[in-house]
Amino acid sequence: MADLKAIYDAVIVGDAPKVKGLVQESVDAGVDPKAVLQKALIPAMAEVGRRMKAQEFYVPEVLIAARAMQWGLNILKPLLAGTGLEPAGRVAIGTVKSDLHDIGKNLVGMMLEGAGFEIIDLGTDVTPEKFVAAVKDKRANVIGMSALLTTTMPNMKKTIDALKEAGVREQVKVLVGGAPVTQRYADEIGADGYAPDASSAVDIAKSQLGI
Amino acid sequence: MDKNARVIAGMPLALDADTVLRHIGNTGGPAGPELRANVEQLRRQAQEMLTPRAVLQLVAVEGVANGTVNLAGGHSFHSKKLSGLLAGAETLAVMVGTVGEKLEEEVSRLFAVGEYVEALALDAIGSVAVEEVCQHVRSLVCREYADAVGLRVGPSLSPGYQYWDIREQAVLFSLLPAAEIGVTLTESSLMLPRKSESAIVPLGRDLKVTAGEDEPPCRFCDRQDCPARLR
Repeated sequence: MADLKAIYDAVIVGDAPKVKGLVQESVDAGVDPKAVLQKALIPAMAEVGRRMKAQEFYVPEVLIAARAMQWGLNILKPLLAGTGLEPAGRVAIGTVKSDLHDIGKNLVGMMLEGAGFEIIDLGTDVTPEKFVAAVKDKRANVIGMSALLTTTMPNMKKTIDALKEAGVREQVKVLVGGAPVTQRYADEIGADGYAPDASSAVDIAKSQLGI
Repeated sequence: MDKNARVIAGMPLALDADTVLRHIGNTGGPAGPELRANVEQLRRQAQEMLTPRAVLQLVAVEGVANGTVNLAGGHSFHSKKLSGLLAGAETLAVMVGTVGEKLEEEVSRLFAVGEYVEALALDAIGSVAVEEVCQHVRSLVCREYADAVGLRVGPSLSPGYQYWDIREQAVLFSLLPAAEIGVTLTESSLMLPRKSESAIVPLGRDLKVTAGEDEPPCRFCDRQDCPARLR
């Protein structure tokens, strides 16, 4: 267990080469990859999220930790494939149609991945039909939509309408965020949750899925 | 309309590290030193990715009243706060500036390969770069147009801020040939390349609201939580 604690600590301080080395050592020594993920990497990112909320960490610290986790995850992914390990949820994430801003969407994606979610990154300028297809074809159970412009925000509502028309609205939780988006707007368009920042997106996704 | 449009290219960019860090937000955490080192290193590399250029057009103001700004050629802007800021304007210096697409392509690549910190730093460098492009043009307007004929100069103002609906970006783009510097506007009022900026600078002998040549427009914007805001 000492190795897992060292991995946990290295993720928090964002030491990516150390995380990579320790994860490799652990799996070489026969430690269950699931344990490395669930007892070191994910709890470390949860702690990073907690420190962000407490304003001990800011965006740069979160990014450095996320990069470190990613280096560890890259070693684990091939080992976890085929083990039947289910992600915490499958999140289809994208910036809505006609909008190309992606920094915020990327931040949310990496925080959710750090919390054990599978991310289906649809990119930017994502049509309602692509979000619907992600639910139907890729079994997404969460939709995360981002918009940075008041002119593109209405495409969040259009996407929710498209989910309803396709008969899949009840299969997914819809989360929205972005500079001009508010809780009030989320309520008006019938979204399930509004995330003002990346770390709260994790909490909201978890609470919506009852995790 | 565009017979007097002026294209300015190749202006020097300082890419001041402190300004870049301010754009990123709070950098007072444990990763602050690493981030600063990244910014210092990337600002040198970024110079090769930037193609700074701008287009400038002077447009006569025909009237400002009751939330409407009427311009030569039958164009008009609509914003109550904007019309207050333009009271007494005779001419608008209208500009669009850009640093091209190369930097944002590198930002996307860095994000894709998991180099998140470098991606964030480079993105902020791009934002600062395009601000410097427009500041360069603003300085040029002050020195070569306003000072030469004794006009007062107002703040740089842009569609999309709280005082001005972003959809009026289309009106601004109808005033000058932005395509000459490779900038286009989408139906959703998004400028492409993304690291582009548009602005108007009011000029007039009796201009009521004035601003210094190097003064950032923060005091004219109500968004208090903007990370780039100068207090």
